[in-house]
Amino acid sequence: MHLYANDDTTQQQRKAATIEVARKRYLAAKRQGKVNVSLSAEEAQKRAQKSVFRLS
Amino acid sequence: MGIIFGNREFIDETALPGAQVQHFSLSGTDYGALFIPRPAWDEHTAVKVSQELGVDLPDDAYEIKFDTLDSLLDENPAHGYRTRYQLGLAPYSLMELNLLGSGLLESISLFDQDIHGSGYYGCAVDDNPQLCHYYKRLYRRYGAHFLASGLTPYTSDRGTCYAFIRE
Repeated sequence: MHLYANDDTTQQQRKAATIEVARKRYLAAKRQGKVNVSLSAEEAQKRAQKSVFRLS
Repeated sequence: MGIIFGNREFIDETALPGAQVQHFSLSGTDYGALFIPRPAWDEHTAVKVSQELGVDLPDDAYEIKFDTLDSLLDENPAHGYRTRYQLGLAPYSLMELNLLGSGLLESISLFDQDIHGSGYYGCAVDDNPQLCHYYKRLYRRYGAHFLASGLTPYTSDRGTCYAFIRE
């Protein structure tokens, strides 16, 4: 029982640590203008204008 | 009034390889739809979704997390779900809630147009009843659009877990 409980805690801690590391590196990269963009805001907005999801 | 889309960006190729965030804003609040490849993350949500929905999730599916940018990416992240009231923001009107849902679903759609993922899945944070109700409404309203895109939608009776799987 304790083993399961401890494993779960460890997994949650690992998860929190991973996202924390990713978050900090992302924010640092963004401040330095080094974030890798995969879809520009202009292109996203252009595509969304044809959306079926009624955005406005 | 409407959704304003921002860039879609890679989060961190070291800690979360392949993970991307799609930015958008509504009424001055910034949101992020975060797409994390299943291999880059732990199996907690994937196992929960599989068990609750009774479906096998593809190994290379993406987990979706959705929240305000403040909660997702702030250097002092909020833990768990917080309402707009708890965030010190004015409550949304029904129209704004509908727009917010359309922003999330369009984010998934934009991502899928480029990536053609084998599947997407997620759970309402902390099984929050308000969130479950909200997501379930979106599911009922927009499920057919995903089906038309080749993604079969799944949810549970409680509306806690969701999956869209390319069959």
